[in-house]
Amino acid sequence: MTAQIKSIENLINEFRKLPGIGPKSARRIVFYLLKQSEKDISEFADALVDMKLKVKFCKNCYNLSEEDECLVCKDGSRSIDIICIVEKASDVLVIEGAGEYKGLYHVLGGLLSPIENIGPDELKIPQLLARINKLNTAEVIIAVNPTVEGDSTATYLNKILKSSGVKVTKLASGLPVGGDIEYADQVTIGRAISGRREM
Amino acid sequence: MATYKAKSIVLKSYRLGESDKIIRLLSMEHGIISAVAKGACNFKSRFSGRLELFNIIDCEISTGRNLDVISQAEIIEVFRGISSDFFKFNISQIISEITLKTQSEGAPSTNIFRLLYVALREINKCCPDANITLKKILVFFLAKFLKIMGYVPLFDSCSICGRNIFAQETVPDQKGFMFSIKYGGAICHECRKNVEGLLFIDKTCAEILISLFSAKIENIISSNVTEKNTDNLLNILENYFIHHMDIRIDSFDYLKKIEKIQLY
Ligand SMILES: [Zn+2]
Ligand SMILES: [Zn+2]
Repeated sequence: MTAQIKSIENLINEFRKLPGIGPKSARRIVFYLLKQSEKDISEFADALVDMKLKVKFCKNCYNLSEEDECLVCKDGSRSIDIICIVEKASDVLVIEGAGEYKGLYHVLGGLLSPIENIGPDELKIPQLLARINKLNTAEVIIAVNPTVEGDSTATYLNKILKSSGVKVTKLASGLPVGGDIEYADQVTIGRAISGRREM
Repeated sequence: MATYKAKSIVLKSYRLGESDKIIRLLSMEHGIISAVAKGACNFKSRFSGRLELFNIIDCEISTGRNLDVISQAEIIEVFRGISSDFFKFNISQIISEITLKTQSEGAPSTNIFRLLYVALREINKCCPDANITLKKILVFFLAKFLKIMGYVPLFDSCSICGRNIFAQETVPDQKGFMFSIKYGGAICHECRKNVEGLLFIDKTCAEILISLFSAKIENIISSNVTEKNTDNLLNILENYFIHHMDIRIDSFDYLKKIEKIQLY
C-alpha cells in the first residue's frame, strides 16, 4: 500500500493542488517520476525553484520578467504610444503569439469585483493612469474577457480614461472564427451586430 | 443519471480547472443551484454567452456524484445594459451577494425569484449615471426582500412595549419617530430613554419608509424622493438588513468605497 509511504503521499497531495489535476492523475505523475533518474528529478526540482526565484513583475507593465523591465518594454522597436490593457500576464503571451500587436502592455492583475472586494487600488489601475500621463499615450486597447465582469471593468476604465484625452478602444467581440451562426446564442449575436464593421 | 430542469438567474461563476466553470444560480424550482458547466471557458463552447452573469436561463441539469452538471442552457432574457455602467454592475452584485448568502439549496421561493428578476430588469433599463434611480431600486429590493423573509420593521406600535406610536400627541412624533435597528422598529417616548443607538427618522423619510414595504417598483422609481433621503433610507435598510439577517455584504462596502473616490 502506497498509503503507508509518507513521501509518496506528500507528493501526490502537492500535485493535487495544481489546476486540473485530480487524485488519479496525481498518482500517475508521481509513479512516473519515481521511475526517472535522480539527475532528471534534480533538474525538474531545480527548474521549479529557479522559476520561482527569478520571475518577477516588470516595473512598468507588470508583465512577467526575469529583469526589472520585461522583454516587451525593453524592445526599442515597439510603438510606445499605444498600451494594451490585459487582465493577466498569460494574456500577454496569447496576444504576442498572434503577432499582430506592436505596442506596449499593462497587466491589471485581475478584474474589478464588488463581490470579491477587488477595487481599483487592488489592481494596477493607479499605475496605469500614471503611465499614460508619463508616456503621453495616444491610445489604449482594453483587451479583457468579453464577460459581464470584463465588460464592467472596461466600462469603468473607459470612464476614468476618457477625461485624460486618450483614445480608448476595446477588442472586437462576436462570432468565433469557424463558428456557425445557427448555433450562436443571443448574447454573441447581439455583440456581433452592435460591433459590426464596414467592409 | 437523473436530470432536472430549472428556470434560473445566473448569480456567480468561477473557473474550475482548465476550462470548466462552476455556476451558481437562483432557480425558481430548487432555490440555489451550484453546477459545473464543462468547457464553458472555451470560446467555441456551446454555452458561450448563455451562462453570463444575470442572464435568465432555462437549463437542464444532471445530478452528479459530487457536483451537478449543466447539460443544456437556453437564454430567456439577457440584461446587456448592466455591464454598460459600473454602478449598475455594483448594485446587481449586491443583489447577487445577498441572495447567495441568504437563500439555500432545495429551498425555492417564487417570491424571491420574482423580486430578483424585477430588480435586475429595472437596473438594466436605467440610463447610465442614473445613480439615484439605481439606489431607489436597491432600497426597493431590500424592503421587499425583508418582507418576503418575514422581517418587516414595526412602525405603528413601539417595538419594546407595544404602545401605539402615532396615538401620542407629542410634537416630536408628528415630525417623525425614533427607530431602533436592534429592536426592529419604532420606539415610543417612554422606552427611548433606555435604548441606545436610536435613529431619528424625519416625517418625509418616515412616510416613505412605511409605504415602501407595500409599494410597487414603478412608484418607487417615479417618486420624487431626494438623493439625501434615498441615501438615508438606504443606510437604515442596509444596517437593519445586516443586523437581522446576520450576514456581511462585501459589495455594500465596495459601493461606498467606489463612491468616495468620486469616480462616478
Ligand atoms: Zn514591461
Ligand atoms: Zn415603548
